[in-house]
Amino acid sequence: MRRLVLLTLILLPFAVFAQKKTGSIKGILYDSINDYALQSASVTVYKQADSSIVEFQLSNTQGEFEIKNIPVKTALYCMISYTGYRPLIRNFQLDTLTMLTNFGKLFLTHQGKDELDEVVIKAVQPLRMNGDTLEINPDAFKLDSNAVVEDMLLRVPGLTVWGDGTITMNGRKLEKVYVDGKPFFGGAAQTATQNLPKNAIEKIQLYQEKDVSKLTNTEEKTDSLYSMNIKLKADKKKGLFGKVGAGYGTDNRYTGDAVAQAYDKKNQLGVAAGINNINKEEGTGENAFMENTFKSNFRFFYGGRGNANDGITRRTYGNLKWQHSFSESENSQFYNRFTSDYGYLNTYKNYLSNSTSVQTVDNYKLSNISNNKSNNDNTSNTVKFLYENRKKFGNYVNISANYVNQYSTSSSEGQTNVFRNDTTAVSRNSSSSYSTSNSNNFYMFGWMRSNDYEMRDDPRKNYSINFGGGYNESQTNRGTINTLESLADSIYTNTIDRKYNNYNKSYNANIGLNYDGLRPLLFGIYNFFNINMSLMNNINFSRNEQDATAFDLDTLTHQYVVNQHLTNTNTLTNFSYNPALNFNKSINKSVWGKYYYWLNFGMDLRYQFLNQSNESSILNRNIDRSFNAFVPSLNANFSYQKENAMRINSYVWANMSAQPPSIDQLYPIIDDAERYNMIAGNPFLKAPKTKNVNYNFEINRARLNSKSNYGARLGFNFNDVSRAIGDSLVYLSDSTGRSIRYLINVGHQRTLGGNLNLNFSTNINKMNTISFNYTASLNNNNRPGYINNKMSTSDNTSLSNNFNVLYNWIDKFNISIGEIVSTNRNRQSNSKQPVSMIRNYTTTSNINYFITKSLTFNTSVNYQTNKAANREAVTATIWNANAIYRFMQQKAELRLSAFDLLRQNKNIVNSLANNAAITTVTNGLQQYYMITFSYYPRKFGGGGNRRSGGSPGMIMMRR
Amino acid sequence: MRYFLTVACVFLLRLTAPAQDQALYIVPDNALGIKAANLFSEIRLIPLETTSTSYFNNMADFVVTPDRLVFMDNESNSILIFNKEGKFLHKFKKKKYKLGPLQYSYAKNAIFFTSTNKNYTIPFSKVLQMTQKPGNRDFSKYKNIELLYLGNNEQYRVEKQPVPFYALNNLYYMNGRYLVRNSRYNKYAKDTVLYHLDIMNGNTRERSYFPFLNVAKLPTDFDDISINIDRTLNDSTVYLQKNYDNTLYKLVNDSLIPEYRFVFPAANTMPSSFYTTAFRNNIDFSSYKTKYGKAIRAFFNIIDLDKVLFFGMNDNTWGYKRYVFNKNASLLYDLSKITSDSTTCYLPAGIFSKISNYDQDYVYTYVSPSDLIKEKASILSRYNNEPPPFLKELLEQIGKFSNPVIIQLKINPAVK
Repeated sequence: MRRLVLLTLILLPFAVFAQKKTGSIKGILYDSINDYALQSASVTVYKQADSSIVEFQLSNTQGEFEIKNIPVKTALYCMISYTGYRPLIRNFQLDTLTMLTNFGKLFLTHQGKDELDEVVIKAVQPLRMNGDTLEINPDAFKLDSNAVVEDMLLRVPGLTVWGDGTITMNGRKLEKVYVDGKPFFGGAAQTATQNLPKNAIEKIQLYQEKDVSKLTNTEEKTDSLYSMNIKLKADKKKGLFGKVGAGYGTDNRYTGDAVAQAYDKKNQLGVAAGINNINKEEGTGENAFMENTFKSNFRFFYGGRGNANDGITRRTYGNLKWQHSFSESENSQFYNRFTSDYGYLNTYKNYLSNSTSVQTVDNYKLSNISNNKSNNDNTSNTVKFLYENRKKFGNYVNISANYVNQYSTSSSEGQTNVFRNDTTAVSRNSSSSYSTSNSNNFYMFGWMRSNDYEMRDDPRKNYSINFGGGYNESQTNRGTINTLESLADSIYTNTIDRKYNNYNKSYNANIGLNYDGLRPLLFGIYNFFNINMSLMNNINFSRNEQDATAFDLDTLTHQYVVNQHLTNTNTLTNFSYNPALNFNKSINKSVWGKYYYWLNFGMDLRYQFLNQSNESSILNRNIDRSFNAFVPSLNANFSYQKENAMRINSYVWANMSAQPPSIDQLYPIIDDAERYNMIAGNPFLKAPKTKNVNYNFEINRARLNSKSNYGARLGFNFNDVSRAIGDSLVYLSDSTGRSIRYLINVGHQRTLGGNLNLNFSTNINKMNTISFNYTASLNNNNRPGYINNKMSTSDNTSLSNNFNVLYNWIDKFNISIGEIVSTNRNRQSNSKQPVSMIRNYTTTSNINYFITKSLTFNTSVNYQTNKAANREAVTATIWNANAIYRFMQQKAELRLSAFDLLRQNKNIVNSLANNAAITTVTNGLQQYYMITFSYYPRKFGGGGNRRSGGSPGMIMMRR
Repeated sequence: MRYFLTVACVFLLRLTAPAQDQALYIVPDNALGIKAANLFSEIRLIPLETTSTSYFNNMADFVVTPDRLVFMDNESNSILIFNKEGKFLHKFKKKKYKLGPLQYSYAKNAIFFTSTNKNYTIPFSKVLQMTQKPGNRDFSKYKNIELLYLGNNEQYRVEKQPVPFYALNNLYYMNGRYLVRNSRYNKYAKDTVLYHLDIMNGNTRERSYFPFLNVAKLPTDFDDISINIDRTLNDSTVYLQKNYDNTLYKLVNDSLIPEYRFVFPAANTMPSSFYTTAFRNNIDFSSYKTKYGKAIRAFFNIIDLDKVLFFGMNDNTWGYKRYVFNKNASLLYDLSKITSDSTTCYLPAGIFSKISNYDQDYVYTYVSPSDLIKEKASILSRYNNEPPPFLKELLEQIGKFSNPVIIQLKINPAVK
């Protein structure tokens, strides 16, 4: 109720503002000499004060124009332009008496031949179709000199920039954004749209790109990608931009970032470094190149919340990124380039958590309440390399390699109290542990494809190869001291002081060979009902060597003695060969001007041959076995487009798979230091068979230049595992609440998931847009099992509803309000106990208020209520605020931040597992205030062609 | 004897000398618009009869004969014949083979068409190979060549023609012979010089025109350099244009005569060295083409009349425009900029960009029912809701699922 009132109060004044009085202008345009009407001439209305664009229209086939929504009592001018003619400018102002100004018949005069050199005019059409590419002309939008591409995109009819960075055109999501045909510093749209100045752009193209990067039938749909290409002006092909900032606040909080990004026709180079202890992960590491943008219309508060499992983290990073293209080609379809990254990251975490887990057992409930405190210091060095080459549509080479070196130390302390039916304390466990680990990991993957997509060469030569390999080495030393006290029935105390040294080395290699020219090889030019056939082969090899040693403290001698039970060496070797035959057929129909559809079916007949051998110093863990299974899959893809109305895309994917139980499920090594969750293996486990069906449906409106757009997406996932490996939980009779988990084959485990997304956006008028977004997701899993030898099926359901409204008044104000209601429910079939349910309500709101061009105010409120069964509701209200002042032509920024003004920050996470519902609350930063100063160096262009009279595309007017 | 020789020499010289070789300097971007009444003097609307048999949606091809209107619908794979009053006469549905473009032969009064077997996918290099070494193959398995007779006594008889070994290429029928176009580098041919256009009579090659270097890494290795062929009202004459060459040629039987030589600004012209430039790979080739994005590539729909020349041009970025050239005044007009007026019933200007056929008296274009319905309100308002009776009747009858309306336009004899 409170929230509803707040919402109405905020939106009311803007509803009033939107109802201003407007008038219109009209006229007819004619050629002065030849007496014919000028069609598609550009008529643009600007404000005299700042030359900002008010309205725009093209004249119709009779040379007529009528522009509505012209504000009254404002000094305006109207500019009419047409290629080959001198532009015409008329000043005017509407008032409440004259709401319509009729210019009558206007005659445009030809440009003289000698004028062609002096004045360069471009038709200022903001949008036009060039073949099947939609082009946006930045010169049609008059914005101030600091405007970035995003400011312009907000004004393009039909295009919506959503608060989370997604861009949709007529409801359709843009999947790829390029600058001059190349991905820009990683490919995220905002790196380009929020950094590049509008004045550096020649035009923006939107088009369909066929996604030929899909190797085989996969779960993702294989239709085309809607892409955006930002073409830079000829003299702006190189540039430099970045951000340098530092801040210090109360409670010894600090943050600092330095990012520099430079690009030219062939190279993109980025350097970033920073440190912060305000849980800020956004804009650090590789994301530093994506998030530290010059101007964003939807600022969110960074830092403070962090991830739920991070506590308070101090983060230090240093990154380098380099992308080099071997040719200056600006075609995004053909490329030859490599990208390399280096990253250094050190995180020091301080973590406190409080977790409550409620387990439903037969006719009583067990509550495990634990407190945990830990520190973790992790340093990693990562090197990444990627090479991509595509010369023809179907041919490409792609090779990537990664190397990571990690070193980390951590220590933790915890205490768990177990209660039966909330009141009876049955046991208590306290533990403290430390660990140090060092690892090196190298992985490479490559694939090459040769496919005569345009049918120019010999289709019998079509093939693709993929290969990969990796090496991993790690050394871990850890120790734990664990004391268990049993408080009910038999009372005793037991302490384990154990040290572990683990050395692990593993290799893996895989290779896939696919021959796609099977049909022309077998049938020649006869196309066999247009069914494509491929022969696929996949070979996989992996080897894992483990050397584990455990020592226990002998209380008598105070010496650590080898624990024979846990000390072991283990080598696991897997070799698998998967051949498959793939059939694929497409049908399409096109009725001009009416509709078009495309339907594609694919089927994979695959067989899996798996050979596994495990050598272990523990006798019964030595096995050598083969496992073979038939694992087919099929998919169907449907796409329908109704001319100028709507677009439907749908795909379904189904497959069967089987995996043998792992050695740790058959013969696990049981560590009794794991007090509450002990596992017992079962050497007679049979391999489960999984059936998976995934269905997706998407519909959106595809009308050019429409005022509102809608889209809907529906997803559905069904997973059925027969002969699944399930749990038989036996709670120990000593009433400590401890249990042993025996693994057995049960009937069917089923998971059902569904998600729905509805979005709607509309332009109330040229400067105001409102958009609604609703997402719902439902997940249910049904797991049969046994508890204390009685059949009990766990039925876990999570449902979440997410509703969000975003209102944007361009350049002035935007507010987004969202409400998330999520429910987690666990029910045991044989228990008479009430269902365990956790309900979480979260209300979020983010407001950006652009008070002046230099001063912005941002505030966000996050109100969370978490109610677990039989427990008090946990609430947290986190209120943050930011005041940002930009000066020195927007290049310098002073920011005042306040985090958690109400001192209530908590992270609350809910989850379900088998017969338990778990709520975890972790510490977070508490209130702090901070001042940050940043400077954004920017330089675009310089060098390249210089023309006297300004750069091309500039309109020179003579009033 | 000597007298005879001199006359013969002069005669031969006159034959080989180019007929109208004045260069026409025009700037396509500056093409003007014109009032419809200045270009056209008469309009006739021919709504095509719509019945369940005669309805077709995709007008993949359209041919005008002296007394018939013939259409090819690629969705129902059929040829439809109407008379010039719009009355439906006949529908021919082709089974198993997919129909190609239509042509008309005046001598035989028949529609010539080819069709390809849907059950065979022949990649381009295989076409080159099969044409080079035909062996004993029966090419009619892959392609059908047929004539559909329109004569009053023929009852729409369809006669199959023998399928020669070069039939897998695009054929143009001309007086019993075929014009075969070679637009790409042929690695199976041993000759270093090939010709873009071959005139084939049965199995023998009679004449060849437009030589090119048959060598790898040249533009013909990456893209088509094709010849555009447009018909005239005479079986023995066609208009030809080679891609990136701005001259329109007239082929009369066996002689090739340059008819119109256009000269465009540098931005619209591909450098003449293009045909002999070698490229390392496709990336370089497409960068080069993007650099010359506005260069004119091909001319199409050429209609050469007494006083005006209609044609369309497209460029490297697949933008295209339709023009009409006033021969007397040497002025170029852009067909999309024509102002429709009462001479053309205020129909949307898009119809002028679809002018594609002609006969002795008229040029032909068409308007789709959905476009007409969109413009209905604005057309009626021009006439103050009192349109001429034939237009009134048409606007009332037309529905979303009607056949297109064919439009006959007469060129104004006093065009200026």
